[in-house]
Amino acid sequence: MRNITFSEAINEALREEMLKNPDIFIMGEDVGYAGGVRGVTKGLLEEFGDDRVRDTPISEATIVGAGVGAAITGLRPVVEIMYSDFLGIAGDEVFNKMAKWRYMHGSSMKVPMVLRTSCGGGFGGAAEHSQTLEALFMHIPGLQVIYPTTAYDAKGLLKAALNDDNPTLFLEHRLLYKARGEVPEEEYTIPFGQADIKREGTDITVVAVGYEVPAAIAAADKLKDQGISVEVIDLRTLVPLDKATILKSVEKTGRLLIAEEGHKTNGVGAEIAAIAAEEAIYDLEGPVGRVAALDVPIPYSPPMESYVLPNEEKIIKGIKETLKG
Amino acid sequence: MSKERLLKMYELMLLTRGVDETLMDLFKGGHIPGFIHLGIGQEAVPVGACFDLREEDYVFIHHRGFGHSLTKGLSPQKIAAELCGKVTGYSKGKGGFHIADPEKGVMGISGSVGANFPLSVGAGITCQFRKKDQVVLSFYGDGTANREVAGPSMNLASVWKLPVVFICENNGWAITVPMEKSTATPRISDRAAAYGMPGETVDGNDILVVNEAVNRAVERARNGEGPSLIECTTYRWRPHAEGYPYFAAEADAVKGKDFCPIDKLKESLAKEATEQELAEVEAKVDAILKETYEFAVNSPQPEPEQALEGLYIRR
Repeated sequence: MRNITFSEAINEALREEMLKNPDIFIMGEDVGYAGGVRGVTKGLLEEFGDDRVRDTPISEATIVGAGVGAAITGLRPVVEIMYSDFLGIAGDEVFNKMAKWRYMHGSSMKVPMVLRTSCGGGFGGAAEHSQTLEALFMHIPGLQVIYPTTAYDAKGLLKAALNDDNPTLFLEHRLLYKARGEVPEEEYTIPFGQADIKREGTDITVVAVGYEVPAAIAAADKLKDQGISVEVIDLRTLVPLDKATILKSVEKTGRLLIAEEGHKTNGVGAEIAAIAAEEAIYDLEGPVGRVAALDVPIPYSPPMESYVLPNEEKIIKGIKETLKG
Repeated sequence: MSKERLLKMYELMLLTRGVDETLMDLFKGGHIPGFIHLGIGQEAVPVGACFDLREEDYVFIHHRGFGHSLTKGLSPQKIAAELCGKVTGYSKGKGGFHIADPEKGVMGISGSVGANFPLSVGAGITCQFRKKDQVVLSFYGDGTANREVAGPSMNLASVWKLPVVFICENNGWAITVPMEKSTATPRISDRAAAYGMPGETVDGNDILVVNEAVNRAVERARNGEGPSLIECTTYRWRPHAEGYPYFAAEADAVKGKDFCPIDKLKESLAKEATEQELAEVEAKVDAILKETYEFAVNSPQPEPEQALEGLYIRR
């Protein structure tokens, strides 16, 4: 099988679906002539022209709102916001228009739009270029929240999003763009709401979100040598959420840890821990553990940044503590 | 202008005002669980602007009044039913004043004012894709002119030469704040120059003037020449929403009655149509309004569990 980067996988998904469906178009800052600041949309302007690959001014709220306007009138926009940190600028457009306009209008319209954005820290981006905000978007009914971590998943999930009629937020961790992975030549999509068990295990379930998936896999592989069998569940899609896979795994292992890069307070882990408390309390043999970013903005300087963000080492520590609890 | 056109305009303006008055009655009778923003006194703008639109043209509407929707052919019964939270309403009771009918190009009334600006840009992209010389009318008030997305949306519409006509219904008030306390320059249309599009201010109480100005901008948009901004000055006779403070606008409302757009059209009509013809239009509208009230009151409530329907599309 071919080995391509996460970024190339997204590019392929966009290109393949744009060839099939003339209603798909891309707009965002620097997506055209430059091919995106990280090269994700490289070559698409040349291939599809500037009607379908539109460089925009620096106007995030207007770009997202225009995406909604194009979607409700029949097109399939792919809007790129360079940093998810900037989605606050388009708060009304994301929270009130993208998420609600179908429901609020009695289902008389649909919003088949994909909002792609990069997220995450760990590269000295400081507080306004490092955030991981999926929990915020998960809280708003109406949005779908997709967060792949491998090239294979990124391509399959994006192709699914481009054939889906609901508004979808597609998160891409900034440190994963160059990560390579196996991606088949042939056509495939990955349905939403299906978590992927990245490592099977029997002692503890680690539900990992986004960038903590590779860290959790590395932790699992290390702990295996120490005789601890860790099951790693990659949620892949946060909305819809694959509760069944989580609950089934907890039933098997009796232990649960959630690893995410977002802040601990009201994070994805808080929701999953609550689900476990509601629906799997008698399967649990001890308290639920959470590994997440500390509740401060992400600081710039490397010693402080790595202190605040979760990583493989902290997941290993978290697993050991959870097993003791 | 032909007598038939004038009579049709008269009918739509009467219907627009009558629907607002019917909603006021329903509100006073406790039939409307939420809020209503009446556009009484401003009928010339929505009716005049939308009068010559095609069904496939899009409109994005502000909170005030239902003349845009009615002129686009929406049913007053289904509008009133929606305001009453009934399952027979346009949004099945989920929207209240959020009325839309995409089949007729009526694309919604945003809760946060001014969201229309970027949404109109997006609809303009769709028109450009389809190449069917459709246009988008984007309505907003003078208060909404100060929303953060106004400028960037006009800029982008102009950069991409999108077929969008921005129509500011300037009634001089942003909820309770008069324009001179919220807006640095007295003319909203001056802003058009900043975005490289034509802008003009017209008498928004004269439907013939509004109709002519908007049709010119629509023609320009259909020809691929890009967006325009038309400011229509008018008066708001009611508070921002029924039940809101009214103090400041009262004097304006009294003054506005001297510029009643319906009386103004009637003056032109008097030369063309007989009293009998006018009476026939009035009787027709009265009958529709009576049906509207009854339909809204007698329609069934939604089942509570219907709240859980229609969020996502699952195949």
